[in-house]
Amino acid sequence: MTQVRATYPWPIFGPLEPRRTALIVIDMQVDFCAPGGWVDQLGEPLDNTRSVIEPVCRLLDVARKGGLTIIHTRECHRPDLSDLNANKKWRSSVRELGIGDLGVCGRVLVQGEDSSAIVPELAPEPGEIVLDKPGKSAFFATEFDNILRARAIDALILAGVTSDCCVQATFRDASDRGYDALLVRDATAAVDDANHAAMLASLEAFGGRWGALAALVDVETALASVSA
Amino acid sequence: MKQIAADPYPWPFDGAFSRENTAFLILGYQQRAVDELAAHPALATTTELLERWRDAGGRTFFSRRGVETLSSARRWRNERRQIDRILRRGAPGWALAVEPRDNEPVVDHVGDSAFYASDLDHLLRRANAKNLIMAGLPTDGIVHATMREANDRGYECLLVADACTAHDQAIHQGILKITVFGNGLFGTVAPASVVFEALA
Repeated sequence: MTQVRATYPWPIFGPLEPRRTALIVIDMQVDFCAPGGWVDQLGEPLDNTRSVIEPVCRLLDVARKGGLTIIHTRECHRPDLSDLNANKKWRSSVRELGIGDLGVCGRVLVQGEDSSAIVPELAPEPGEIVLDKPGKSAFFATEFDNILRARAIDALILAGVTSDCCVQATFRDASDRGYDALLVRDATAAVDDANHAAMLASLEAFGGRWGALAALVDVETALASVSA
Repeated sequence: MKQIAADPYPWPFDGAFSRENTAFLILGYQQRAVDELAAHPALATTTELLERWRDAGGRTFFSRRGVETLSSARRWRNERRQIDRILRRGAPGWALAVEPRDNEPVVDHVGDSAFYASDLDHLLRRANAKNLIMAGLPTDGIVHATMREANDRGYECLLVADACTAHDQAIHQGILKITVFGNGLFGTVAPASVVFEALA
């Protein structure tokens, strides 16, 4: 029986079955991970978020070969910003470039702009789902839960950025909703190293109160065996 | 009431707050959580805040996590938890450690987020509460999950740092730091003493 070696053998009720498993790649978009995106234009280093591109690329490769459902999320808002909360708008507006403002790659965190596109290295393939979300959690104000339930998916493999924000939000909301989630520890990162470490410490305490955590190599091994 | 001198900005972001547009949320203050986290100092702070908030005429909502049945993956995870176990409703330790008054609603919720599968959002919107002051247990469990979802829902949140705690102070502090990252990734944080000044 194939399970992933993780904080506990995963899925909980194994074996790993591609038809009921999805790879969720969180917010690997230009705004967070590429030159000319929002984080870059705010003058913050991209090293951490870009470090995740190669591991996520490897995950996508094995997930595609294994026939998993693949969902890419993007944090972005409607062009008229009607889905942008007033306090979220204000908090970003005190920076030199706020949500909805025109940056080098288009308007920051706005649907359909180059800045909210998935980075080219991880470009979605035909048949993969791309989900735009206005909040931190992929479950908030989106079809995410319905997409998963309609496909009878109950096991989620999560990767992407940032660990302390949208990744943990989606991971923990999945837990409340009864999903069996796995976070790939070395395929996620935060802008701030200390926040990343604190978040992983919280998620890993007591063996993972909200889901399992695993190393990329162990996820690759398990997925390779189901697709063989 | 004047803005509260919170980190990283004076709360709420849009100016003064009032008892009409603000609610106090007391999250997961249940007897088992207080005992296993040795949260008696945080409980004392929360109780004092509650009394002052009541004196100011403010409205308070309590959250209480518990289940009748858990779906299978959740049951499996829950049974191996050493702390922060989700209790059956009515089980020892499930009851609130702070006594609500009759006009202070208690919201039962099945998950860490008090918004999930509950009427909390409905009650807050009916009450026209757009600003939330939060206390609760544990910082990295029910409190953060609820604050995170409140933030996605557009509420303007202030977490009272010493009115919550976790099993590990480094994790407690880590969650507070993540909360205020950037210009308030999930909202703002202030100690009770600063909140008291605003209520005085």
